[in-house]
Formats: sequence, structure tokens, C-alpha cells
Amino acid sequence: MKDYFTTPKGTRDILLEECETQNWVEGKLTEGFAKYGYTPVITPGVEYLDVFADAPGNTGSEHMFKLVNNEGRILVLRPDSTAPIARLVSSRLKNSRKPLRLYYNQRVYRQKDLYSGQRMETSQMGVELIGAGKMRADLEMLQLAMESLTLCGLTDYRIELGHSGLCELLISRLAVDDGGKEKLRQWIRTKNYPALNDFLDLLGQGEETVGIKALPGLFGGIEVIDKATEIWQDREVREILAYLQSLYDVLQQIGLKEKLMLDLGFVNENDYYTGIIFQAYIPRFGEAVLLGGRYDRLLERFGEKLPAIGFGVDVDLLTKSRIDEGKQTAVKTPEVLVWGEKGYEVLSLQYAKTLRQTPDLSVENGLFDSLEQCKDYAAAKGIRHIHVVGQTIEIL
Amino acid sequence: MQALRIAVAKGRLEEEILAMMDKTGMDCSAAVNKGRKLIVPVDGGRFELILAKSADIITYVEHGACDMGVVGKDIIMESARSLYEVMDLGLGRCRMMLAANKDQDFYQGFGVKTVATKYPNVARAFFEAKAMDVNIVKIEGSVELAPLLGLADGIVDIVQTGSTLKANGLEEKEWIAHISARLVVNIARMKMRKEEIDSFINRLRTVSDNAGGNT
Repeated sequence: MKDYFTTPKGTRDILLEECETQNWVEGKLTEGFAKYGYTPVITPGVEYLDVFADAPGNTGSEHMFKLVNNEGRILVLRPDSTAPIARLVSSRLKNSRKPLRLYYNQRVYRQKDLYSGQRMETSQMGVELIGAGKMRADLEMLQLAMESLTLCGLTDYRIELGHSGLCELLISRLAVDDGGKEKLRQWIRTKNYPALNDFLDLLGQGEETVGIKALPGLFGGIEVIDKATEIWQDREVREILAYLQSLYDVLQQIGLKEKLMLDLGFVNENDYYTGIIFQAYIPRFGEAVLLGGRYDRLLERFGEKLPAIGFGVDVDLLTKSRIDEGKQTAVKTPEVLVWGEKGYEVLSLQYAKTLRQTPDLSVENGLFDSLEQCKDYAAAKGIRHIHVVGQTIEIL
Repeated sequence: MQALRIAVAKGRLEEEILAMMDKTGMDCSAAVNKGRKLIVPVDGGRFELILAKSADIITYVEHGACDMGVVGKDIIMESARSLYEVMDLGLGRCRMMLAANKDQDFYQGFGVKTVATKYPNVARAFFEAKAMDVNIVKIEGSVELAPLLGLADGIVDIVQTGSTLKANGLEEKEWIAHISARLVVNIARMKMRKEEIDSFINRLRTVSDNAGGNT
């Protein structure tokens, strides 16, 4: 057995029921995105490294697969679809009417530690709404995120909503250097209360430090907004809280309250987010199946000052969840095998073609020299009918 | 409702966390006579104790195979995974140290130093912060052997009492981090089962003598 008979670590072949189920999930998401007026885009599988330059966290350049092209430039396998779409919007779609609604269905690649059980290739679908910066856009995105999951047959999911501005605002009020701020973000993100408390204790007991200590614990239902309002008198902080409250109120009116949670200590590793951030969880899965947020400064990097918001769905996880629930899409077996006797090969091809015009009927051509071999094959594959084309057509 | 799964390393940490849970009034008697079982239901089936090797605990928790885990800060530092690290349990206290031969200045001279360790990522981060090039060698067993056999100039390891170092002519040169057992929680599970997990954490807090904690 040659070592290239297996796929590289972190990648895999997807086939049969799994592949059918993934197609089903992709079909549902495509349907949902299209109904909201989103149009598809496909970006290259490789991009210049510079497109993702300074991308922090998981998509940092040490996690990208790199190649050097014949001009000596560094290319990367697409680690994320949002930055390429921002590039595309800032160049080819520069003068188009905004807002733009785009969706994608493509794989992304990130290097992970070997044997960590993590995927290096992920099928992602997502939407980007570019050129709209206000509440209506945020609401559309949250509504579409929830609808996408519902379309894929999920009922027991939770969407968690946070605001990246909140943590930044609070941290900016502290007299701490950049290194300290980065640590604070990390501790808030990982809900590391002990480290956070020790660090803040050294800074004294102001409204700021007490407030930041409370931040990682402020997640749950809408009551966290009331709790937070008690803690912070600050005008800018209260504006953010009021905004989250108003989003929540609207989503409640359209019946999405049950699904919604808030986490005021939600800090994403991707620091291009500037406003609301959200992610979705389903039971039994240890990671988010959907992740999104507002990124009003990303397009600036490509020379276009446009607000934007989007989310990506992990198609692999949605597929797995469906299979785990026993709702996989079966591999379709053709109903009919058409076989032409010697001398009737052409007629048999024409007959099979005509037969395929029947809705929902799939028809295979028999490729064997004898009827016996066809029968044996059809029995093994579970094909129920054999049509033998000769002087007459005989149905077995 | 599925029981909350808590991964714990077999041995002393297991006994200590069980003692803490017992103090909060949870019924942990099933864990005492568990025999060779690796999954033990406790507190009337509300929890399941998963007995695993400590380095595997974060893997189980990160993937969501377990909801929570009790694991040393040394393992968390070495692996840098995405988890919530919500509580310092104050158990298994020790320190991560740089140690080297007694009577020898580790930093002396311009040659690149060789450091033996079970924690290559921790060691790398420590020396990177000093902008110092070192040659790191991963050792699985008694790291103290490496400087004695001339393989390394120093070691990065956890130290509890320091008696092993002393017995082998080594001494602690520099403090790297405070180590103790932490309660880690899977990120998605923290959200999906907030009430149960919060209540578990709060119960542990009431019996922990480590209310503030340090890191």
C-alpha cells in the first residue's frame, strides 16, 4: 500500500450517504440564502498571503498552507472566505449599487496540530451583507442565521449574541499596556476568572476593574443586560447595552426569543469584528456550528470604507449532526437497468434516454455482454427492474 | 437529561476533587468502589466521572466528549487549546521552574543553551519572551537526568518540594508560573447547559479554600 493511498492528515474523502447528506444541507442553505436575495460568488482556492495579512488568531499566517508561485510570491490556500470577498467587493464590485448581498459555498484550509482530531479542510457556506451598517442589517443577519439552521432541520440550537465593542471599550479605559490588554482579552475570552481577578486586583477597585471582573460571567438570558446596567454608569457602555436590548426585543417579537442568549464577555479571536458578534451551538457538539459578526473596518484595508456583516456555517458539522440523528439522505439506487441485446446497443441508449424523461426516474445503462451478468449486477446493486431491448422490449 | 461528564486524572487529583464534591453534599460513594471502571456515575447519576490521563483531559473537553475537566495548569499552558478555564481548584499546587546545575549561572556565556523539558511549548514561550535562542529537547521521563548526563544546560519542569532537584545537584533558577489544578469547561457546553454547570461551579466554590486564587 502506497502512503498516498490515504488522504493527508486532517482531510478526508466524503462519499455515499455522507456526501448526499452534505449536498442536502448545501441545498437547504442555498435555498435560504437565495430567498433573502443573496447571490453566489466563488473566489480562488489560492490567494496572495497579503489578502490575509495581519489576520489574527486561528487564521494567523502560521496556520495557513503556503505555496510559492513562479513569480516568487507567497500564495495561501484560502483560510477564510470573508477577506477574499472584501477584496472582491473593493475591486471588481467597487462601483456597484450597495448594499451587496453575497453568499459562498467553498472549502477553507487551516493547519492544525497533527493528531489533534481537528479538521484542516472545512466546508463552509456563508453570507456577507456589505454596505449596510445599521440595525436593520444586523437584524436581517440574525434572522437569516436562525432560519438557516431551521431549514437544515435543527430545532434545538442556541444563538449567542455579544458585542465586540463592549470588551474593547472597557479595556481601553484601563491604564494597561498593549501586552496587558491582550492578556485581558484572552482571559475574558476563556472565562479565566482566577487570572483576570488577580490581574485586576493589582489595578485597584475602580468601576472599570469591578466591571471587567464581572464581564465573563455576564452570559445567559436578557437579565444580563439589567445586571450590566447596574454595574456600568458609563454612557458609551450603556449605549451598547441598549442596542443589544433593542435587538433582543425585535427578535423576541418575531418569535426567536427561545433560541437567543447573550454573552457580554464574548470576545472573538478574530479581531476584525467591530460590532455585534454571534455564534450558534447545538447539543452534543463541542464547537460552534455558525459564527458571524459585524466587521466595519475590514474593507478599509482594501481601500473601501464600507460597513459589513456576515456569518459562516460549518457544513461538515451540520452534515454530521443530521447523520447522527439518523436523518441522512440515502444514496439513490436507479430504478431501471436498460440492456440492449447484441445489435440493439444504439436502440437501447435511445430507449434509456426516453425513459429518463419520466420525472424522478433514474435509469442506468447495462454495460455487460450478457443478460446473466446484468441480472447478477442489478441484484447486487438493488436495481429492481431490467428492461431488455431487442426486437421487442422485455421488462423483467 | 444526560449526566454532566467530568474528566479527571486518575490518582491523587481524583481523590481530592471527589473529596471536594463530597463536601458539597454530592453523593460520590459509587466512585470509591469503582474497580477498573473508567466511567463512574456519581451523585445519583447527575454526573459521570471520566477517568483519563491528564494530557488527554483537555482533548476530551475541547472536543466536547466531556463537558468539564479537572486538569493541571501545566497541561493547559502546554497545549493552548480553546477552553473556558473557570476556576482555580487550589489542588495539586506546585510551580513551573527553570532549573539548572547548582553553582552554575544558567545565563552565563554567549553559547546557545540546551533545555530539556516535558513542556516544549511552555519553555519556548518563556525564552521567546526573553528574546533568547535556546535549543529545546523534549524528554518524557525524569527530566532531571538531562543536565546530569550533559544533554542539557537546564530544565523547565514542575517543582513541588524541590527535593528531587536537590538530590541531583540541581537548583531552581527562575520562576515561570504558578501551577494548580483548574476546572475547565467546553465552550459550547458552558452555553448549552449553563444552569447545571454554574451550579456545579458555585457548589465547588463554597468548599474551595481558594476563593480568590492566583495564577
